[in-house]
Amino acid sequence: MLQVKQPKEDTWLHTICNMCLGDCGILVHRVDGVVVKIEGDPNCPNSNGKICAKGIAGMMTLYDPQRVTRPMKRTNPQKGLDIDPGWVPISWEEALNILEEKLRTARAKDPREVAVATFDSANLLDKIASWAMAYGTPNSFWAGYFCGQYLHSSMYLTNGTFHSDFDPEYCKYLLLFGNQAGFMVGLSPNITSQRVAQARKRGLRVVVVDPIGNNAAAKADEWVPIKPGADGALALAMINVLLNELDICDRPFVKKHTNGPYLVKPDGFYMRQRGKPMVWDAAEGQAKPYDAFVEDYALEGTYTVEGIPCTPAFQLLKQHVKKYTPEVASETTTIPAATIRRLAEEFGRAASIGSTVTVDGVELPLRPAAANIYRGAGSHRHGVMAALAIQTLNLIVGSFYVPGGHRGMNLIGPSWKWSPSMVDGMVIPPPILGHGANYYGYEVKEPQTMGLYELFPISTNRSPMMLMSSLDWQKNQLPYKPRILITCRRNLFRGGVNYDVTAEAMKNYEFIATFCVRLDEMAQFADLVLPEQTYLEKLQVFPNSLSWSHTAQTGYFYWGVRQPVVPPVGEARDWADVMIELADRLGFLGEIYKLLNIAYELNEAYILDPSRKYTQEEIAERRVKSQFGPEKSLEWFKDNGFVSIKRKVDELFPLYKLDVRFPIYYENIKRAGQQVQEVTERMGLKGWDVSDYQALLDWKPDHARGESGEFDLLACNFRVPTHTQGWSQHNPWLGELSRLNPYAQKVLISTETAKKKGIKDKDPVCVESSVGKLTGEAKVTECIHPQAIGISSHFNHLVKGKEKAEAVNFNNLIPFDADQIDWVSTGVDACVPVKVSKI
Amino acid sequence: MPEAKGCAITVEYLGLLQNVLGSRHEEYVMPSGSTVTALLQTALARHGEPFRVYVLKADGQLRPVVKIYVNNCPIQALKGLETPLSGESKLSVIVGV
Repeated sequence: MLQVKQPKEDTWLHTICNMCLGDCGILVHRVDGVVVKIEGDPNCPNSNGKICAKGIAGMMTLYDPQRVTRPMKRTNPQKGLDIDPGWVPISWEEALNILEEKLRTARAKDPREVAVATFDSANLLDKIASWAMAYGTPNSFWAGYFCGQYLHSSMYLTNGTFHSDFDPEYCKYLLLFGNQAGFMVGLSPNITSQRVAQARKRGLRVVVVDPIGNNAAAKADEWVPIKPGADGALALAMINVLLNELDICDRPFVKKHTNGPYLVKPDGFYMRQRGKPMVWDAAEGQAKPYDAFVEDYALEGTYTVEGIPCTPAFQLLKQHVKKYTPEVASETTTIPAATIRRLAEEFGRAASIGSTVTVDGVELPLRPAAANIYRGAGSHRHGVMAALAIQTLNLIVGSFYVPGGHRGMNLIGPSWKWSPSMVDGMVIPPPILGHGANYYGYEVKEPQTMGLYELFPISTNRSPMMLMSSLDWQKNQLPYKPRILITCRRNLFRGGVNYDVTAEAMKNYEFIATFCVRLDEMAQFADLVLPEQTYLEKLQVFPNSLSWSHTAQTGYFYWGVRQPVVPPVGEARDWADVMIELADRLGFLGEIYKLLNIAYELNEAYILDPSRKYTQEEIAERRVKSQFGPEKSLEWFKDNGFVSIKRKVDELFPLYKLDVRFPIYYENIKRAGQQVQEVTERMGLKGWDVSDYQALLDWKPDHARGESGEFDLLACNFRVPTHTQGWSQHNPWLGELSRLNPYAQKVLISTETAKKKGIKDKDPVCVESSVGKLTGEAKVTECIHPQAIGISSHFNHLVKGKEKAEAVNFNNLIPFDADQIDWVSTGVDACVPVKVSKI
Repeated sequence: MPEAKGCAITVEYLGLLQNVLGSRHEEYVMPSGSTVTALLQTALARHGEPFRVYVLKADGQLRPVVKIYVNNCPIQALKGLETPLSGESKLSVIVGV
């Protein structure tokens, strides 16, 4: 008779997923020490008890038989993607001794020669940022080359926050430019998808503007196929239609909450008196400082101030966009002019300017139309301008931080613990979100950082410049040579450009240490490989970042703890713990504690004593109690999951309590461009392009738009909901899903284009750019623009000798040169001219 | 009129400024009630150009990457650069990127 063995242990544990940047709360079912299931945690507002395919599959990453389980050092000094490093296993003690010696020597010579690159979202802003600062290097990098650069700088400038968001609760018209928010792709995908689904039932209309008829487009009310990289032109044409054809504009909002009334001189800079931008009071017929009492701000006209004719910035915008007629934009975007006009009118009318709604007893402007941009629309050479144009759409209809509209993520904190500040009346991000993003108070000077921060004042993370400095540190007169690189969860190949370029850069380092879950391309160039824990083995406090995984769409502020649900596999360690251990050996652990005291805002009773050494559990205990009081211990969080505080109406829609302005005219960018030009000319840096440092936005053609001759198509990449960047590629369950997905691992080509080229569905094809090529299976489809080739971004080349997946390596198509970079943000254009042929 | 009493204020340097000053913390004796501005000016007088380059812009304003805390509280939440200091004050000057 079959006897069922009863488990000795059968328990469910609260923790937080890390299969993407959503940081959803999960419940992990553990039976006799083995994870057998993962579900959504009903206690977590960010998941609401639901979880996606990636979250469910997390345990397959935990139990991956190819995990790196112990430290290894290379014995073959030759490095290359296809060269065996000759790994030999070593002890952690030996590994730490090697690292300590390298870092000690570097610190004594010049600590700036050490770079740390990671996308470990739970640690990069506090432990690792503190580590780098205390060590003495400014070279701490996060993010890749394609999304963070243009997007976050644009959001800081316009929203005052790191990231964008929108209100699905009241929204009736959602315009998605190059993103799939609300369709299980993007930030906070779980809750956003739930909210958008509910909103669809209430009548939300979703319009997706994208070259690819992706997952979101397939479910939207309308898919608008656009030529890759032309989103800025569409946005500018829509602004023109709204302002100059339909006269749809929220003038009270523009007057009070933008720099539209600011007077601009003929040279393009503000008219200032005593340093303050001036406005014209139409009721009193005089110029006044922007912060004076003004009866009626003039938005149009010409006014003489100190003998100088001045024009309100709004009028300059209105005049400037006239050249972007729908007919002109149609040629650029390939969207019919009538469609452009219709989209503009739909958006403008949906915004319902002048309407109000009462929320929790407070009457608020209701603007139920929101435009949302993310990677696909902005990861192009002029990406900042495209992003700012799309934000301007929201601003001119008053759809900002009000019900139904666009908003940034957490401009204000719980009980207004933090709020934005201002320069010239313009929003500046609160320091807690700011990462130093003050785009009005910048300095431009000779570079000291690998990211060339000093020469790119209107940007956030400048990772592409890290690559440039790794390739040639003298090119931009960096005063030191980068010699040591430490990485974790940042595969510079898979998140980068053509692999040969990255390989060349990696060979220039004298020493590379990489923390990884399994061997990858970075490991091929590393001198030391160190086994990294997965999120199911780690302790991390409050990983739901206010910047990106703490959305107001939940209706709450929320804090949880990521706890280890199983012991680490093999000798895997949390890399942040290893870095802390190294800090102790090198004698600067106390400095890190001082910085963490500030970063964590620890109360006096819980501050870290720099003369002591704490375990990670002890630090976690202090942090949770400092924030929530002694009764909310670490054990409490492990047992209960989350603390949630319902957001009040002003924490959802803070505009009515904010006396800030958002820009529709970028005088600060223009000024920055002058300074960058001055400094780079003084340095003798030839070819430094400052042409995009404009106060008014344009759409500009670049090499990608100018495809001709043999490279007649534009390759662009897209995301699928079952994968995250390159992290999830090896997960067997997700791999199986991607093989079932008819688009995921294929080369998408339109029916029309395929016919011209004699390509049929499932034919093997070669896609070739000026720098690289890939082969794959053609998917002939109507779901792609005829001038585009679509390849998803997740399935890159695998290290030789490991299990094969159907890999289609988009990155190898991407060149890394001056033409491929957005010269304001440093972002790399993810769109490449290619040719396609049947093999 | 009685003279304002002096008080010893601890200043700690975190981040990149340590590289330049070669020092992680030091003490300043300032009249009680002195502001953050006054203390920074005193530090500038002591350390000269290296301090100025890392902490101040050409126009004398704080560089945007400089964060100043008094007793672990950002000065933006207090009285900014006019925050008064006392003998129990600890000033943290963090120079980031």
